[in-house]
Amino acid sequence: MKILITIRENNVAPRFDLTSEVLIALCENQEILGTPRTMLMNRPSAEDLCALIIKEGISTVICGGIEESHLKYLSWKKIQVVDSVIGPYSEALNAANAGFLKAGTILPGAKKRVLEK
Amino acid sequence: MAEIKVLIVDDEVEFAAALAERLELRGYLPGTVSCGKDALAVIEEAPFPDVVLLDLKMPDMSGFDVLVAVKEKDPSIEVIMLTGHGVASVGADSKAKGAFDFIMKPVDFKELEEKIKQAYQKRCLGFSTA
Repeated sequence: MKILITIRENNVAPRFDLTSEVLIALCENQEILGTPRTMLMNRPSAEDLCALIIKEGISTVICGGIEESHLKYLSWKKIQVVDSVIGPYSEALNAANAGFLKAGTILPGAKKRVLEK
Repeated sequence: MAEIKVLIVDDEVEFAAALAERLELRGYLPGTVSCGKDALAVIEEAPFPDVVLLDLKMPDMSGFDVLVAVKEKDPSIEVIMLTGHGVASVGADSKAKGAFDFIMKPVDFKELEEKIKQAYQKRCLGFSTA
């Protein structure tokens, strides 16, 4: 499974179309293979991001908010999209790797940050 | 390794800011400017950057023109060209004009970091043999 997470600082980026960084990780048998790669987009663009997802052969996309047209496009390309995820991307990756990340998940790191404020 | 001073020259401000943030987290000393004229103004001032990450397409000047001007000012400053509009000839043209290397956008950060380290080593070797 090749996972792409849209990121902003240490968190899942809140908007797919405004993402300028992504993390790409390869997972197999609930193990993360090697070191995940960080890619920096030329500019925030949902179309460029979709093109990168296709080019990289991504099987699962983890993101925050995503426009329906892009969600439908990626689903049509048989890419699983786990959207509306809130929290640290490292936790999102571990949860996806363990097989329990679902759309709309608010990760513990995000809840902790809110409580700290 | 000493703190490497990296100047990012790119009119895509989000890209430059994200790259600067990543580099800073890794212990580099990044700076950003969004056009060729500003880049040349920075290069006029000391201390010079060790490595320049230079976008090929900018509104005021072509990346190639900036590259030539940087190399005229200080040939030991290493320049890595960046572009989102990649064709094979751009890489060869960049190197012919004195660039250390060429990298395509979207940028794989690990690959870029390797190139920055190699460019810095080349600059240090230049100093030691001069």
